[in-house]
Amino acid sequence: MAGRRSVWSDPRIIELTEQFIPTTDEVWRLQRVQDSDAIFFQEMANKGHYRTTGKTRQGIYVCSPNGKLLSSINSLNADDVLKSIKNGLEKWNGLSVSERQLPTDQKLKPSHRWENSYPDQGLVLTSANADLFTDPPVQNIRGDRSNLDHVWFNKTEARQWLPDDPQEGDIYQLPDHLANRLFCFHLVDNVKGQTLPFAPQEIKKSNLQIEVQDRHQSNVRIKIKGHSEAIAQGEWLLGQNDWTPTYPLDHSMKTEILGKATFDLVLNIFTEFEMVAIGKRYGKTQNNSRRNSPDTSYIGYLFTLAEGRASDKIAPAFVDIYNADWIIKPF
Amino acid sequence: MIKHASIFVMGVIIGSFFLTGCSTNKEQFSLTSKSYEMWRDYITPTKNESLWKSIPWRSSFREGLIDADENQKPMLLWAMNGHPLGCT
Repeated sequence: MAGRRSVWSDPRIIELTEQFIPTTDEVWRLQRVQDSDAIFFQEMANKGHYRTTGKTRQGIYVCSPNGKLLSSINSLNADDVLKSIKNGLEKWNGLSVSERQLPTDQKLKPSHRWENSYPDQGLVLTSANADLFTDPPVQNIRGDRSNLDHVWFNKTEARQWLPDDPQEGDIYQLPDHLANRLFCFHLVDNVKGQTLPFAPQEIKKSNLQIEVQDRHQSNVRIKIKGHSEAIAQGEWLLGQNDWTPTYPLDHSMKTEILGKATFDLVLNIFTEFEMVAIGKRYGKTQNNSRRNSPDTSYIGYLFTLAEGRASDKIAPAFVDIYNADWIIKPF
Repeated sequence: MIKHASIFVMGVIIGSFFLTGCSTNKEQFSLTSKSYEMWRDYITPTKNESLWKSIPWRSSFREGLIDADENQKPMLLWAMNGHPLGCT
């Protein structure tokens, strides 16, 4: 995700992307599955910068709609990426008409995408996750990396954030399965890279309380307050899946949470939502780039209502092991 | 004697107020209603940190190819472990 800053924030590259259709996708699925869109990708990418069978195809590719690879690179260096993209554009300019067209028999239909389970009318949040260095924070002292994720609650779960008939002054405990979604899958140390979730048994302390502040016609304003402590020590408890680490690394997270939101009882949706959490992290996981970090430090999380753009509908990082039986898994 | 005791007691009381006022009980990185906005504003990505989002990214390889064909432009694909528009 370092590329977001080093490559895709470079003004020369931003300007050049106007001559392309800029596209993103998750490579782990594309490089492995046998759906027609993935096979199309594999045939293109296998001619690129990484060719070893079975290894990653992460990178930046320029290709024509008929799948002809024009250039590829995997780099965090803006100058190198710029050169590669320009090289690809030059080759595009030399293509024939037929080489520029998507074959008519190409359906490219995936048999499964996690985004197909997107919870319409539910509570969908975007989280921004950043390292905290000082208290009080200094705006221009910031980490070189930060991350984001999306949180999904379906319509039924969204309504469970409030009591059945919310009245001013009501204090309500968020049901465990909803609180655990945050503690296990989102209040984790993914600031600098992908990390591991916590198992429910590893949530040693948790409390997420909703206080109804007022109710005016159909609008209910709530305050959210809570804390948690998650400790992962020794054995991996979430079974065999794509996240199973090759070796255990003890790590933990303690959080404090505060937020506010408004729920419309007629529309049955949240119209406002903002929640901050501060986490104290201990230890590291295999891939979360904490090798050179101190043993412990602080992380800030900001959860806000996602907008309805396509980019806001990307599935949560741990969607494949989410505690949500309404999410459709691949066959 | 009583006057000296009174002065002594007053001294203890004033000293206690002084010490209490000076003590730094504030826990570091604490999230309270007073510190909420401060932390929220810091965690919010800055304009620079959000520049990469100004690019009109399509969110799937399929969508990008179809748009590239319709618009007769080359596709620029950024593929990562973890979706680039989500957690990577």
